[in-house]
Amino acid sequence: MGKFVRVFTLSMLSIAAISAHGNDAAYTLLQTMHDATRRLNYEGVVIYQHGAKLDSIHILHKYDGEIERERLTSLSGPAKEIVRDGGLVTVFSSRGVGTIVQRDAPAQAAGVSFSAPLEKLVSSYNLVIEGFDRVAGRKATVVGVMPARQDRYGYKLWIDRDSKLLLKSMILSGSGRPLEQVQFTELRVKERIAAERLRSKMGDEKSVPRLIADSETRQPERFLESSWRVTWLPPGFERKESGIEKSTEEYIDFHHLVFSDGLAMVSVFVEQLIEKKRAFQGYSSRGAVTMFGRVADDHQVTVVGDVPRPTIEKISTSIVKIDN
Amino acid sequence: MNKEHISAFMDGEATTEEVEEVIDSLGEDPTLRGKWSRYHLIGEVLRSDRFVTGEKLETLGKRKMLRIEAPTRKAILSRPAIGLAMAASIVVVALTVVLFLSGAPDKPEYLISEFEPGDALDSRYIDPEEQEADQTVVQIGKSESVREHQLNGYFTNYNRQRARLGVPGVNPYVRMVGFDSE
Amino acid sequence: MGDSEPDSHLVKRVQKGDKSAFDLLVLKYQHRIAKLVSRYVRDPADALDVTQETFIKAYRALPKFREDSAFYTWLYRIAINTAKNHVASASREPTELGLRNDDAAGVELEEIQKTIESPERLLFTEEIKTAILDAIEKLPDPVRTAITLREVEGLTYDEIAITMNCPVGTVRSRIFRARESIDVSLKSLLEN
Repeated sequence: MGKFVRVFTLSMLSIAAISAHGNDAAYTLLQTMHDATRRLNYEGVVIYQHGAKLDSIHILHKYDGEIERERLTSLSGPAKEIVRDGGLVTVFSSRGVGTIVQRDAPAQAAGVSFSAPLEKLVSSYNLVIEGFDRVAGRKATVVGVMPARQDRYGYKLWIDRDSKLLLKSMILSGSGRPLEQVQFTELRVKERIAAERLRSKMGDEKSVPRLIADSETRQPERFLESSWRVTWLPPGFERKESGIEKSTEEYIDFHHLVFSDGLAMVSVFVEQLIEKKRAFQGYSSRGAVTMFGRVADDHQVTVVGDVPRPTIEKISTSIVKIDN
Repeated sequence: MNKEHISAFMDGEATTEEVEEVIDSLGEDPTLRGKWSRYHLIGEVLRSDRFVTGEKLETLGKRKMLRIEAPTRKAILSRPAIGLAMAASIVVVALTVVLFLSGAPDKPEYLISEFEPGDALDSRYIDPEEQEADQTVVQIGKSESVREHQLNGYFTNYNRQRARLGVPGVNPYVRMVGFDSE
Repeated sequence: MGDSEPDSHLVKRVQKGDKSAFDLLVLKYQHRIAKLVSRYVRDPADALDVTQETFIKAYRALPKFREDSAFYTWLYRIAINTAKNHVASASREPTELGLRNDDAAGVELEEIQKTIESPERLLFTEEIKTAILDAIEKLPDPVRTAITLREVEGLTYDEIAITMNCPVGTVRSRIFRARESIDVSLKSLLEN
């Protein structure tokens, strides 16, 4: 398979310098990790660090050969639980009515998955196997997914050498500062997990029935073309979705656009603004996710993404309205 | 006509015959109108988990205006509104708790007004601008501002989109569980 | 969807001259409109006035309303415009909110106000919310599920029937039972 390239600083990287071979090995490992995350039965506790906050979450994951089921339970802060059964996600929280059923069909398992073809990722990121480490008492291979430019964040992934599960992940700023971290403090891979364990303790799942798949007819507006356009994007980003949705609270239509380079994701929300004083203008961030708001043409334009502020701002200022 | 027809009518599930019957009955019977009104209120409460309320207000039915009793108590009386004389049976929602962000972003101001039909109104009026935030007078469920709620909305939508589109990165469910807002 | 049908029936009745049908629309939407308006109009008393004015404007314009949009969307736009106008004009006398003072308008206003009940003020206090949520918790599971799917998820009776694997008639009676049960607590709270 060849040797792994060891890289020391970002400044020493250049796309030409990274052998396709090095990228391949790292990418293959990531693909294997993606499969393992979906296909194994495991249980553990992760700590999720975002900014100054630290939360711990209990995770259960089960795969029966066809359907993935997961249960994530908050161990700190207000009681909250998310139960996923294939395409059905249920959120239980201690406030509000008690159950909110999300009818979106998620394509992703818990963990990091790399569905983008290698060529796409390689044009924006350098994938490198950086070395070895220990997490949760297990030996791990460290993979770096570093941006070729400073317009997006980097990732560092610790992959269990035995199970190939993702033990730890970090999103890093340009200066190498971790913005968000998810790390298993305990992890057990199991032969089997009893189905009852995937049921929520916070609510009776029998009373939250399986819903029919979210059919397009129920939310046709999602697929309408938005009249807003982003005219600048960092290289490698593509538009994934465009639509008009109704905000449940305000009964206001908001236009949304979603872009991704395969790893980072940026969402744009545009809503009509009535009173300028109420506009959200400026930044707010949560962990690695930054939100930037500004007013354009009597509209509130909000960009949300896990990319650095200058990138978010540049995307925001490039947003224009198209008159149909 | 029974009350179940009202319920079905509300949901757009009544038969054609039931529809006319229901509308007629509701028009004639104030008790049924009350039910119509309350049935809708139930729905509003269920849909709104962001009900900002004032907990120390007088309970319903006691029909008292908030009064300023001591200099330290910060409450606001509604200014006598227009047409008060003709508004003896005004129906519009009497209580709104409104949150405003003051100049300093960390300092929300809470205004409460309770408007009582038919009451002799205290004509003292406190200019909202002069009020200081006092969280002991009003208990907001969680002391979040309108701004926080708005940002939570964007954040949650973002994570849900990420899950739906299968974009890799930090597990959006971990993010959703970790951030105790929804 | 299910929600705009009752509005459609009520609007037609109003257009035929049935004023009381308009009252039902007011009772249905007063909370939402008041909440919406109060986010944009600072002064609470003004917010109430603007809300009231919204309904009056809607009542006046209803003869011309042709249902190319849903009633609520139309009402919503009136509310936004009314709120916007209110915000835009710097110095307002409280008495000037676009309500004409001619006799006909005065009578109209009074009638709407009078015919629309209620001595029961619908206040969004923590008590009301708690009473409703507590009552929901006490419902039997299938009943609670049905009302949640209807009110929160907005599913039609047919969709709920498929989801809960029961006949539509059962869905209809469960939802009614839920509302009635909750109304018991709510009514006694509002009447005390």
